[in-house]
Amino acid sequence: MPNAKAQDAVMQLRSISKNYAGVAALTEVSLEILPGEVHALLGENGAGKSTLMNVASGTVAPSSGDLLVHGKEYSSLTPALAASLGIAIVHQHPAVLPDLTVLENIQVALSSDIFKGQVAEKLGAEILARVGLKISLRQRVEELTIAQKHLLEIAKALATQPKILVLDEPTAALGQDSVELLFSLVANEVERGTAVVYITHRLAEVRQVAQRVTVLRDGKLRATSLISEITDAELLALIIGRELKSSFPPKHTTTADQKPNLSVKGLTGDGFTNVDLEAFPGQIIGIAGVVGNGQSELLKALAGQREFTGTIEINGEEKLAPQLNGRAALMPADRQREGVIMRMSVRENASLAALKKFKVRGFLSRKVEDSTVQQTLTSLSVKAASQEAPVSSLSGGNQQKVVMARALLSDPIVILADEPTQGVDVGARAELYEILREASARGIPVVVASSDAKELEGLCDTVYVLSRGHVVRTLVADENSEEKMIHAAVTSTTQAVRIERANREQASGEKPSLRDRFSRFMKGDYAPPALLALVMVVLGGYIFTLNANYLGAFNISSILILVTALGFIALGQTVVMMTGGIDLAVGPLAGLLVVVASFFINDESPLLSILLGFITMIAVSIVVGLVNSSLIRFGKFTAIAATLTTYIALGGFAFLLRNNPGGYINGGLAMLITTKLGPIPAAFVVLVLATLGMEFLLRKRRWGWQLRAVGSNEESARRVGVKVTRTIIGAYVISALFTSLGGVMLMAQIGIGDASQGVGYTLTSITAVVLGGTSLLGGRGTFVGTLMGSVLLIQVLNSTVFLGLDQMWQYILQALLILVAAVIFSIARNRKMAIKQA
Amino acid sequence: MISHRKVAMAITAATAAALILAGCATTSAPTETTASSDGPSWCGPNKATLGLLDGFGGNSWRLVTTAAGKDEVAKCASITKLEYADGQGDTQKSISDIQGMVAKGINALVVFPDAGEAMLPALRSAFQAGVITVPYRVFPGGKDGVDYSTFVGADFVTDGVNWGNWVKANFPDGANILFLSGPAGNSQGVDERTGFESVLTDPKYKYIGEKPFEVTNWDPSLTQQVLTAAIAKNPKIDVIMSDFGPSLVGALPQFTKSGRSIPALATSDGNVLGCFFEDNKAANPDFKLMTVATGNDNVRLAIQQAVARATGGVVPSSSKFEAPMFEDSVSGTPSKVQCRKDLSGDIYISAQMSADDQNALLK
Amino acid sequence: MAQISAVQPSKVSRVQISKGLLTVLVSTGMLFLLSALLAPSSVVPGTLLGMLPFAAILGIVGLGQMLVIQQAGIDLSVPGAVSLAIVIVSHEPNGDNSKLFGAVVMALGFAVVAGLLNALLIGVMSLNPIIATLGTNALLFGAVLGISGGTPRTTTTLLAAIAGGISFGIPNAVFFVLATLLVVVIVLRKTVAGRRYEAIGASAPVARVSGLHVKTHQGLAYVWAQLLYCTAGIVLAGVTNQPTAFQGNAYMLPSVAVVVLGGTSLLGGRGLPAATVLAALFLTQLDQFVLALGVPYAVRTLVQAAALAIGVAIYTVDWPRLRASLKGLLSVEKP
Repeated sequence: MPNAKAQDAVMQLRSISKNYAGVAALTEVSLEILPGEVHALLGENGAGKSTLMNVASGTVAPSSGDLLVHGKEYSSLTPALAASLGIAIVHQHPAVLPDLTVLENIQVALSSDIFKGQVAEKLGAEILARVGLKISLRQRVEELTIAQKHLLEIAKALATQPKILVLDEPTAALGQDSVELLFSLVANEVERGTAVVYITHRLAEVRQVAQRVTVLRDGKLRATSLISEITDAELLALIIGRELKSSFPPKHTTTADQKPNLSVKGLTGDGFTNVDLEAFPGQIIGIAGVVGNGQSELLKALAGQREFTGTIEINGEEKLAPQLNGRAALMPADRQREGVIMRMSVRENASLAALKKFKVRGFLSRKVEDSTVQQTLTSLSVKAASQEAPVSSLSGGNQQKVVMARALLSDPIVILADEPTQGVDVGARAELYEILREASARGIPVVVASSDAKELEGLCDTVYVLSRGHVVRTLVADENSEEKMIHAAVTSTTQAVRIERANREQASGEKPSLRDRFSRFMKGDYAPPALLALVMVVLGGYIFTLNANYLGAFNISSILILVTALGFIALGQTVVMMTGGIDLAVGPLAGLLVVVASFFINDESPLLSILLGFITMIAVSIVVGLVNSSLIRFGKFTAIAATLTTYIALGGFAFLLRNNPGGYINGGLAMLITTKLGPIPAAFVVLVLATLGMEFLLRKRRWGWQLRAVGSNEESARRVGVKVTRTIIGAYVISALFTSLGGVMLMAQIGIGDASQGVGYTLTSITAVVLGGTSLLGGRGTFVGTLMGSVLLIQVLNSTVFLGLDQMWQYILQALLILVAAVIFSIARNRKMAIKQA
Repeated sequence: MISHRKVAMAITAATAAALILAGCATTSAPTETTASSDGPSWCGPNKATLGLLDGFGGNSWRLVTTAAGKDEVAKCASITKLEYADGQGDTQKSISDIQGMVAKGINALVVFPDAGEAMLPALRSAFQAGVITVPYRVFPGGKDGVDYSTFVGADFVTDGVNWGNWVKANFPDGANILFLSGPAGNSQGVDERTGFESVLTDPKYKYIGEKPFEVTNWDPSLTQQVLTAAIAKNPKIDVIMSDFGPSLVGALPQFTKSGRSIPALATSDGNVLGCFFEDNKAANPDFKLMTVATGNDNVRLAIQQAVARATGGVVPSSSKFEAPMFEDSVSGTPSKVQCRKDLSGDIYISAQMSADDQNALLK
Repeated sequence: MAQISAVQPSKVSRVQISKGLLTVLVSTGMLFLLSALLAPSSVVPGTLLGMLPFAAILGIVGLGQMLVIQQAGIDLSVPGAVSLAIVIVSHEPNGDNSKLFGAVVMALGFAVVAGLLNALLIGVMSLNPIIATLGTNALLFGAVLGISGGTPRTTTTLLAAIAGGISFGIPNAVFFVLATLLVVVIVLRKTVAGRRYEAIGASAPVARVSGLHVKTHQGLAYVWAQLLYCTAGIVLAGVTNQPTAFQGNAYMLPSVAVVVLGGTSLLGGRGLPAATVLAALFLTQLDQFVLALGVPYAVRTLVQAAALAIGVAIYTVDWPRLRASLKGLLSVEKP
């Protein structure tokens, strides 16, 4: 062990342990990180490398142990604290915000100090240039390729001029050029004195880039050494060496001139390329390699759930994706999310893919189902209290058996098992191997993907090692050994293969073509408002030809007054929607505020009373905003449930205060609120200014980026240091405050405290916001669009009178407006406004 | 928002209209029967356009009322255009409708301001823009000549008085009285209560249920729930008073289901109610029915006021619409309970427009 | 972790009571007890006979909304759907009993079309359910006004007898909701499509991996929902003698409330049909109870809001953790 002068170490991790629900991810690992060198963290999957670095970067808190950073002790860090200490981490899965532009992603992740005194675009371009990223700063990150996203992450990290830079499997997604650039960047950093921690499983990279290496295995530290003082063979030996002994059923001996029951040729898809597999009846095929190198994608393609080119033949018949889907049994790696339905019973899980078997006279027979499932469960030795027990009460191994039961019951044409023994205890593992063997013996092709090389060695007849989506080694029969597998994986030098939409890269300074500009515009945030403006002009023009009074002063001012009320409320709604939430309570709140005002702001009220009235309105708004957001963040209500409750409650309060309409609003004040400058109400001018102001904040200020970040991807936002709860609370309070402005307009409009007014604003404000192009999922939108949407809605309302339209048409026009707009925006963006995944 | 206030207003207007009809039928009405070639005296020589606006037009009562209005306007050739707008119970839309008509350049507006005082600012702005503005039936606050040209109200107090008198006559020894009206605090119900309380001062007349009235929003299904609860809560109900007679029909069978006789009803008329009475009077000994005419024709007076001012005709002297009594199952005066089984239940026999014409409207 | 015995054949009774159903059962029972004690007039046979039809109608609407919410969607076209059904079955016959059947068929036809539109927008085009159903709702109201001009007719006597009548001392509407509940439960539990549907709602990822057509089922949810709204509207038209054109508006919020109170999560998951219908009974009786207490309208609304908040909180708040942290807070002060 080389002796490092403790004072020199930039960071020390001391005896770090981390447990996840009883499973030890790290056991007393100590690490020293020295400045001016690259320290590689080497190990197989599940070794604990990422977990250790997550502790170091504050993403995760350790169960025990502490950290020493720049000489100061910490029991744990937070992302913000780590950032302030100069620790930058580039995660394996980029923490990017898809709806924000490249520049905005940079701006929200980095502290504003970095941008002080600089033109943002210029600095942004420099940051990108450093990693050779040739993309426009204005592009939305969701359009970038995975490789580009990774480079962006690296660029962000470098921009902070960190003292400690952690790179987690950085070359996983990069092409050759980028990898070389990355290595040169790392070298630069080292020269600057930065401490670099480089997590990888590839020996070649370690040799290329690191000065020191630490090997982890099963959450424990195996060794730390200078690169120059250790050989590849020694490293390999440290990585391999499983203690656990599993027993495996005997393998299959192939008889000659048997035809293969599974034959895959040239299979290419997203994440894997040119894969050839062959299996004979009775054989189990293994797919080896470090997780994330295409195994899951390959298995999903074999199950017909991903697109592919190439051929798949089962028992001599070619199968296409639709034929595979449903006939192939896939046992996914993510058991909790994709494998079992936690809330449902063992029986329901097991029978899911075989329901047709239990039909008796058209209906499902519980008797048949029970006995069939019973048989299978018994044959698999599933241990559960009863068939009806919720599957969540079973151990991991038994859950996996249930998944297997489902697979077997469906009479599959091929069985695909992705990490079948992950989280499964030793005893159950042996049973699972037996079951797989039995299935295979019946002639069903079985393909097992696993990151546990030992397991594949014991279980499979033929093993294909995948690295970066390529088959780098095929191990048949006696060749099949853990050592050979790992050797193939870690010595692989193949580059990432991702078949994605080719993105035309632009060197900065190159002028984009007109077509590009138009396409970019249509996908942009300002297309919807522009379209709306067009519709407004056309509609207005048409009506004007019918009746010149349409553009007369009276009509314009009455339309705009109505717009102002709706507009303020819709602005508030926009803020909330940007975070991915919704505020149903705005309507009743507006009504309640008018009722409140009707107690203070009457014709004979002294100035003090009027002021008190406004203050009370503001106070009530703030309270409502806090209640809404607290229910959501602390009570874990969904936005709809929380604001629905408030919606009902506020209505009740309004009636409690004023059972009958009463309390005339001060006439003079009402006149003041509706003052006009020519045909334009002054209040409308205020609305426009507010809209522009909010738009500016949204695009150019931290608050705006943070708001959209939370809506775009809450987890990534948290990781880049955005205070999510605070942002959301702020959003609801702001919405309520804007609603109070709407309430002021409403007050002048109806002139009396009437508890039944205002309710309609809820749905109209949502409609106005959506018309304007803001997404209900959050993360993108404009305030300008909301303003346009409000104007258009009121214009349509007004048009029906001018055109003398039947009332039926008013509804139909509204419906068409909403639906056509929504569909157009959805298509134009090529991004569906899809149902948000929980 | 379903403005049941409008429904009740409509019905009361129909009652009032029927009263006028009844009144016109018995006394020669100069406005109706003048055969002068110029048309009625309220129809002046100047050309003008008129707009008829409902805050909530969505029921048969409104349909009949609107038809009555159009019928009245047709009598005056000086009105060159008649437009109609329906607020559909949405105050915002009602306000927008008024403003739209003003902007369009309509000369006169006849408005049924269902939302009450919330419509005042809009009415005021129309009036101040120089448009003849005549709200009718629901009082929007404000003053004649300041906020609008004139308000053509209906005399709901008299309705209440008529009910009170009938109860007094038919229940000389006292009675338990249940009163249902529309939304909380609506002025029509309040006025009606003033009316019958002024007559039934003796404590032997007990008012049961919520005060000043059971809130039903003039919503038939809510009426059903409210009445059901009231029936269960009060073992002895002698009289039910309501300003929306047809809405009771759905709930009254509740009595039969509880094994009690349907009690006396003092309310406003409707064909469905009349026929319900005919069908059930035999099995329910206590069932008596008295109605005041529902006021479909309130609108006619409002139209006359508006047209007179817009076209330079003779402004009618009265601006209050009075609804006479219509049916009385006990005394038979002014009429027995009427029922046209061959026609739809949604017509109002008390209206000026003939029952057959109304039925044709509903096809 | 590993259970002791090998899996036994199910000895538990076939009818299982879930946590959601239990909660609603207990709450409803307590509510009726409270009503009997504090406001006995609200549980008298006469009142119950009047209250039950509306509870039943709300139950049917709630079932439709449940089917949608189960798939992580939401249906804002309830008002239009219910109103349209009412308008068609009262306007088309216009008092003529012989035309009733045709009107019912027409109403169901419209419901299917509306449901397919929603399914297309949401399932195929992946539009957000809020927007899509908002738009459909507006179209439905357009149809309402187009067919009726805003003025529905008095219900035919036949419909009033079928939907609004009483058989064996129980309102017919109750039979309707029970029949609907039975159909929904049978289809969900006893047919292949229904079981798949439930699985998709409970976990779309697992369903996808198992090869099920997730999007199709998610879209069709809206068709089934529309059929249920239509049924509810038809029954409502029979129960209410003179329904108005916008009668459906009153069912929008309560439909979501009863689904939530019945234990189905707004984020999607397993649907609890029986609990939803029971929650409808609970909510309607709650209203009746408060009404009988003589409490003003405003307070009734607040009670509704409180019931909803409590109902959601039961499922969302992490009670064990809350208790633990409260205990921690209290135990900090040690002498």
